Amino acid sequence: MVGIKKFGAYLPQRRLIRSSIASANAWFEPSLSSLSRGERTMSSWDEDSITMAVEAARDMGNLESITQIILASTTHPFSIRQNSVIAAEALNLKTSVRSADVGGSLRSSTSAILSGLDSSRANSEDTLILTSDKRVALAGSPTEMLSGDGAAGFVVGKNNVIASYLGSSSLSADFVDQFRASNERYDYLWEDRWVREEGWLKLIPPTISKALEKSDVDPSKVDHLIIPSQFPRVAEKIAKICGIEEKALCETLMNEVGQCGTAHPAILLSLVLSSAKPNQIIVAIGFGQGCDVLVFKTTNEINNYKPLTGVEGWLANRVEETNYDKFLTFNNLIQRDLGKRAELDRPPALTAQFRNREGVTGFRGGRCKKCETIQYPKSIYCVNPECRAKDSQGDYPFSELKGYVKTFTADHLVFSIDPPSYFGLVEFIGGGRMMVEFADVNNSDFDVGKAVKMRFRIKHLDDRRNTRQYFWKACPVKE
Amino acid sequence: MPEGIRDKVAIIGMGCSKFGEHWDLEPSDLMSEAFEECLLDSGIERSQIDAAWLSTAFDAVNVGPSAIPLATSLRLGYIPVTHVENMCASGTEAFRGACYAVASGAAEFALALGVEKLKDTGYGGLPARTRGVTNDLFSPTVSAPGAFAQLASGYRGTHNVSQSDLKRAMAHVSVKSHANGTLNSKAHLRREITIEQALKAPMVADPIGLFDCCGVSDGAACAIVTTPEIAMQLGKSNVISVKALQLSVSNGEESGFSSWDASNFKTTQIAANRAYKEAKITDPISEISMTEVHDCFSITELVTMEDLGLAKKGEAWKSILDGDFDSSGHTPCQIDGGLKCFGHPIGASGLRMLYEIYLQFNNRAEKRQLKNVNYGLTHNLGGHPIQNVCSVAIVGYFDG
Repeated sequence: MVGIKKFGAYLPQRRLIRSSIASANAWFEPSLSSLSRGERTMSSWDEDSITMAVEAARDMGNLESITQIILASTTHPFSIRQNSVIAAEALNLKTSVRSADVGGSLRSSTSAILSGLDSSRANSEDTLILTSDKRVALAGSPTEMLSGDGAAGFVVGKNNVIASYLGSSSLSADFVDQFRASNERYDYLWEDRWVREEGWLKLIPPTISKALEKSDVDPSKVDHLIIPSQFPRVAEKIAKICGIEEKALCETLMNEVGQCGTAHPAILLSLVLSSAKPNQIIVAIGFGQGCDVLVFKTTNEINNYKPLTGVEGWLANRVEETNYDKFLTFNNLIQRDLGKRAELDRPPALTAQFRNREGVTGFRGGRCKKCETIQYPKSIYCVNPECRAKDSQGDYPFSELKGYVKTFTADHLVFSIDPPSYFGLVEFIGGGRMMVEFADVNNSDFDVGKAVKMRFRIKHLDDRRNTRQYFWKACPVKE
Repeated sequence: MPEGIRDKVAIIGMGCSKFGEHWDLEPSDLMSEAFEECLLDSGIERSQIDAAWLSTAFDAVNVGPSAIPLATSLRLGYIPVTHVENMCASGTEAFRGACYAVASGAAEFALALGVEKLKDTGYGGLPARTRGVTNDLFSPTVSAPGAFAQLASGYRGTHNVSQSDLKRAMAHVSVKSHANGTLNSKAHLRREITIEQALKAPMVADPIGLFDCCGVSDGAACAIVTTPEIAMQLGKSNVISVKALQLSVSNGEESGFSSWDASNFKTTQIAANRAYKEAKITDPISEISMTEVHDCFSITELVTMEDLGLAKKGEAWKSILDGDFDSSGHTPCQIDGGLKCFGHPIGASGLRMLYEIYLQFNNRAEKRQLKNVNYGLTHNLGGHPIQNVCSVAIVGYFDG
């Protein structure tokens, strides 16, 4: 029996209040006010589809069993340089892991889950499915209002599954509700009414019916129906057409998160699994140039698994943002004077990056086998003045360590897209210390002694070569 | 510990350009200004200089690489010239090279010259630069005030001092140096400020405000050294000799080993202790008459008073508020105005500090002249509190 063994998610802490988008754009597009209910997630300048995917994966805890990783996104940072490999190295997966990026459609996430399930059925091994999107939309567009940033992840495999895979049905149709050419930043969208009437309401219901038939599930038995649509009342109509009870319809998170691109159905599936009881039927849908319909049935194992934070936890980890200008700046939608310090050119040194990838991307330091001193970076001679053993350090993973702030400052002089820049010395519980940059700091309660957790982030954006460099930053956490 | 160079090297001439925003001057103009004063003071000819050391920190906006800029600017006679860079300790490094050459007998007369042209960047503060390709992969990107501001949080956490008390003491440091700087015609900033102004200044890197920062300027300073015997043969009365010259460089323990409490400079403590031994100083508070320390930021000067043993651990903020390091205090600090008023043309600063002590010992410090000077101490710090280079020099009257 193949199915889902673990699930996790990640949502950025900032929530941009939609009315702040609407009011800033009202002079040009007053109709946006009709979409201004609620809020949307807003990733920081140092987050992208890779960093968010990594956090969703970390939400699932131990990933030692993984032999394959698939990363689904429509906003992969790289076209050449496999995005899933960066995630795999950040997660310290085995170097023998098979990896693939998928994208090209807002249903690439559900397609990735299906591929993972097929692999596991064939080889009995565990696949890590990650999906993440950070869609950039034109300023003042409905897409900007309705979108959100987020990620979700699943481990699929055989045995001890929390939700067994019953079956699926897919439909491929070049129904172009939106498109984005390879060299474009923004989606081009067709009229909502057509998309809703001819797309969601005509392409999905027959595919649901086929999937349920193949899965031998009566529509009335469906407990959770996940329709990741931003259109109101579409879900209710689909349920009715398919003979599924309306009470099975799941939360869409449109008012709390926004539509997170291809990650959205996965985020909703992650949310549903977090509260599902054993023996419930879950139907999840991915839509984009056709659709995927996946049917799962939860098992008793679902009572024994919880993600570390989960969608609900991330929803509660919320900081309100009303500064639309900051959103424009983070997403490079406004040409801001960044100052001459931003002109400092730091070309990538890909040789040094490769040599140091275990320490930098994997965030592995050293532990001296002679004196047990934990240290970062791993070095030839032990840092302990009483030891100084040579070549004595084994790998020591730092990414999951908790620490506390030993020193810090809020630097207004150094260039940052989100000034002031916070950095300082972090002392790790159990040993080790290092100077790091802080992220997601709420300055009103940040001080020496504050507990932090490390998160994978963009360290430096190289606009000249359109690349980015990743490292780990310390984020405040509740004790 | 080795015997060191106590009383083996004498300073026979020093020079210092006016420090400031010299929009109209090249580094060679600044070098020449300092050198002319120094050469005249020394009483020797340019052709007698056997070896020279040039210190700079920011090559890209300054003279460029190598020692050639010094040799060509001063038309030195094809002598050995060495370019040194060790961040903010660079000036003292040039001096160390020159002193060691004399002490070893390799040179009779050696020149140390530091120069920095910082005002060709188009913006305030120090130029932004990388830390090398590998360090840039994981080291935070920081500004100098940001790096040093962490001392304040480390100090508060270690000594349980309130932010407001610490800020008041930091303000006192800057007010004192500004007052001293008004009496120095070569200083860049020559106006008094008030405690109120310092406390209310715009924040640069929490809790370092604008008046907690030293200035940024262009400048050059230099010294000619020889042996005390030759100095006396040249007719120098009151020969001023080097009593100690020490350097301590972080080896990564502060940043990677959890024994350092982040409230001080381990390097300063080590360099100062070595320097006191080399100079045979046993009670710094009573024996040292004046200090020129690395007041890049007020908090740096504050903790340095403890690291040099001039204030008790955790109590420098009180000593500062009590006026111990004011011009009228027991050990005046930055009697020339310090980096605060001179600004910090990095390659020149260590030599600029020595210049003030040299003037004081020659009774040439005009209105800021101190009475009964015994030993003078200079101190430089380059890098971050967490990883840095520290130099300590002690000079006094030759008593060999």
